[in-house]
Amino acid sequence: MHARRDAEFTEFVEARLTSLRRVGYLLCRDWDRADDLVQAAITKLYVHWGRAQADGHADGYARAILVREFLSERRSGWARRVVLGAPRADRAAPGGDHDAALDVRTALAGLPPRQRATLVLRFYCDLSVDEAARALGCTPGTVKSQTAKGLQSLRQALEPRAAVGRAAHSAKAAPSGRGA
Amino acid sequence: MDEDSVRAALEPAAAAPAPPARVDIAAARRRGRGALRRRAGLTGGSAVAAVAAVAVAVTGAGPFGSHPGRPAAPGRHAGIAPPRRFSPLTTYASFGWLPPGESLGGGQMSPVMEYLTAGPHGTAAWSLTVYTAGRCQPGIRRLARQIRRHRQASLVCAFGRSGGWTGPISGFAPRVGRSTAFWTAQHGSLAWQFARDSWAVLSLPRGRAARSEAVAIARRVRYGAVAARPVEFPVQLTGMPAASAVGYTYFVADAGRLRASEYSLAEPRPYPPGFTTNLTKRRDTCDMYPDGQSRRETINGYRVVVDRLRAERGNPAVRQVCATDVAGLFIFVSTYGRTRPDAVSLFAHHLRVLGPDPANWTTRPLS
Repeated sequence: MHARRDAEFTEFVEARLTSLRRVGYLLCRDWDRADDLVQAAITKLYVHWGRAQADGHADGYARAILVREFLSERRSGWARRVVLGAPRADRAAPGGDHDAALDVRTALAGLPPRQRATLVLRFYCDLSVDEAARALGCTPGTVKSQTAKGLQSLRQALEPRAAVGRAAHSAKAAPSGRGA
Repeated sequence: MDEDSVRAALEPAAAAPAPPARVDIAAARRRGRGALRRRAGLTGGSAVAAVAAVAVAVTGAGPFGSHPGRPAAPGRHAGIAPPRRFSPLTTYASFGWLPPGESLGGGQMSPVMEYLTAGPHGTAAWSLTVYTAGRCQPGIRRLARQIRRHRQASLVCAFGRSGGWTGPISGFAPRVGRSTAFWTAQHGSLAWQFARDSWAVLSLPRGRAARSEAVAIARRVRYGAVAARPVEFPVQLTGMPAASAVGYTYFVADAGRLRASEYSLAEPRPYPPGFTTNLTKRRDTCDMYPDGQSRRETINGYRVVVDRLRAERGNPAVRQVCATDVAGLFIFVSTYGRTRPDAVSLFAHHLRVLGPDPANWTTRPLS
């Protein structure tokens, strides 16, 4: 039974590792810490693997454990721990809207952990309010309020730049000295 | 910024090129297994549990007579005495019926809960968890009342200091025996009381419309003496202190028998010794830990790896003996802290290997 359990668990984690790491990265904006989070999360997932698998929601379990791990680590002062070994620098994303992605990551990182986790679950993992509430261990009402606050904060963080961008775009599109 | 634009923005934000992962899946399995052992130890206690105390009667479940969706008067059950403790050596519950082609795969038994899996070729498609009395809240009447009043309701079952299960209830299910039964929303499980204050939860296979099968399985689950089957051990511990007892047991259904694959002693808490005993497979390996923590040794003529892992992060030091082929068995023994006898001593002086032949197995793991 353990061999089978181990094989199924390994297959699942290997298939979901990239996705879990990306969720971890969105939460803490650091690949080393994301890996630590995922490591802790999959260890706990192994403990609950029988039930997670039997319930057919191993994905949901893994995500919920990851997010709760993130929140509890934040509470327990995880951020003060040091990472042993040389820190890894994030490489620049090739092509794409790099600045925009960077802005969103920066703005997201500025949110309180719970709001950040709520937005990531709702809009990156595409969970419903109820599903996010279960993952976070709170009520749907709390998810709604955290979502609203998080969106508001993101707007405040991003819209000045967007407004500047729009103004610049408008300035190019509309000839100055109209009517002259 | 609206929800759609946040969605659109998060995708590229998460798409930063990732460095190679440092995540170690094997380590997660290993630590997870250790946590399972410790958790089982925490829930353990003396294992001198008495299945006999747990009564007698078979469920009087009238199999298919109820109307789906119509709840029975809550609080009524089939007249089975509420179980106070389970034995880690003998099953308390068993599947009385499974869909064609499906069979028992294995399970776990501890003093407070029993967990059985079943499915095609013994896979874990279905899982049945049976709890001792008082482990789950709220009571059946309150749960039924909450649902009738359209309130959110959850069944919460605890099986240790750190473990538990929560099932948000989605509605009434067809009766199981004389008990009102419930579907859970998130997990797709069927929950019912088989005795006063004593709950059973059957998890459904994923991706299968199996509710009618679930009800049929639940109605034929057997409890108590009629379901009692002993677990058989391919090793035996000899010369142990008289108070020694087994804390929890995992087993696999193997050629019509229940073979113990992993178990722990009940003491010392919170980290009792743990044993894994499987039939040797070609792929079996032992981990080698860095910094000289693992050494290859020969004990009683068997090649083993002995791990002496240092205490760290509040966890005790660990001593482990791993052997991939001890007369046809994979054996792994672990002890924590200053436990005596330690893993090496248990393996060298107390472990009597009975081998892979079921004819030699024993139902008395301690002698």
